Amino acid sequence: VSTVLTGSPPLPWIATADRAAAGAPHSSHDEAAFQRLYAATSRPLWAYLMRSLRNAAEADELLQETYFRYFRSGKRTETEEHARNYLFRIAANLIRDEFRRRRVRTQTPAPPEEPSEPERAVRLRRDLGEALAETGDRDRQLLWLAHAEGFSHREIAAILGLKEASIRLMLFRARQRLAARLRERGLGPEVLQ
Amino acid sequence: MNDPCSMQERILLASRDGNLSAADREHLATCADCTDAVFVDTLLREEGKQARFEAAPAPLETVAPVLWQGLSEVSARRARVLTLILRLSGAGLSTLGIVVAGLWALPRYGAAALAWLQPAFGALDPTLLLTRQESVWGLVAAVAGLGLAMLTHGLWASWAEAD
Repeated sequence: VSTVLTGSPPLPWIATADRAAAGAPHSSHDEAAFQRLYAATSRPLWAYLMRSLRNAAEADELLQETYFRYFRSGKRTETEEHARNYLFRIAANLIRDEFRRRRVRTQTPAPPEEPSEPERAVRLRRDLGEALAETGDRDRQLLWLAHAEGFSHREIAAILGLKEASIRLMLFRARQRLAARLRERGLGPEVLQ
Repeated sequence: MNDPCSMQERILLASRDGNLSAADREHLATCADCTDAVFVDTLLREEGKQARFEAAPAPLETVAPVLWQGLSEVSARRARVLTLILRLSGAGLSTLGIVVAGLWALPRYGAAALAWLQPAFGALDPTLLLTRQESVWGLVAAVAGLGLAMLTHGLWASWAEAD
């Protein structure tokens, strides 16, 4: 590890007798697998958390919590894809809990970050960000998982704890609502031309 | 429109792969639902790419110590539960041993012990101690042993918490 991460603090699987009990990686193979998994999943997970919560500090916090819960569960995932789906499922649960807390605190949602340059592409992204922010929490997650992350209906159902049969219709309605919000901003399919 | 177009899934896949046929394009020109789906899908796919590119998750070197600390706390909690079971089992076994040894020893050496303890018992009849009261003493020892085990565990747990 020290050769890979020179000068870094000790990683969880180093010098800890509890690691097996805690479900942490326990061999160089596991360590390498975790590094691969983190490299492959941390960015999309962070983007998903950030897009859902619209708060970078909370996205950071929940990203760590996601990996913590992944290890604590001790679940052995067969492939990296299974691990990825499982991590997204944990993240979705954490997001749901966070929304619940926010409702209790009646906190107003954080505004989307403002782009500095008023270019066409930037404006398009800003409008999309605002339109997404205005959609409901469930719609936003559905749309992000289906279109930005490319998960199948079956995978989305597992991640969000919904019935697979209802995903198609829920997505259809979420798309309609987002498209309507985009149209309100003067954005339609013609912008893709 | 209350239901998605039946061609939507196929059109979306073809659009993602850049394989829209002439028939697909013809359908897209007339189907608002599929047009919206392709529009939203294209925008969000691009946004997803950008968001992943711009994502700033903490590096593994920063996350690892936090994970380690959390996992260590989980292990410590599990260890405390495990040791509680072991400690209680140990205390129970010890108490049982003391009681059995006492019950075995009292009929044999009870008289000599009582002679030594006589001043403390005052007017109590020493012969009683060899029959019924031996069980009473055994129970007292068991309760004391368990109490001691619980007290020890309580102290240990509070020390562990303080650490």
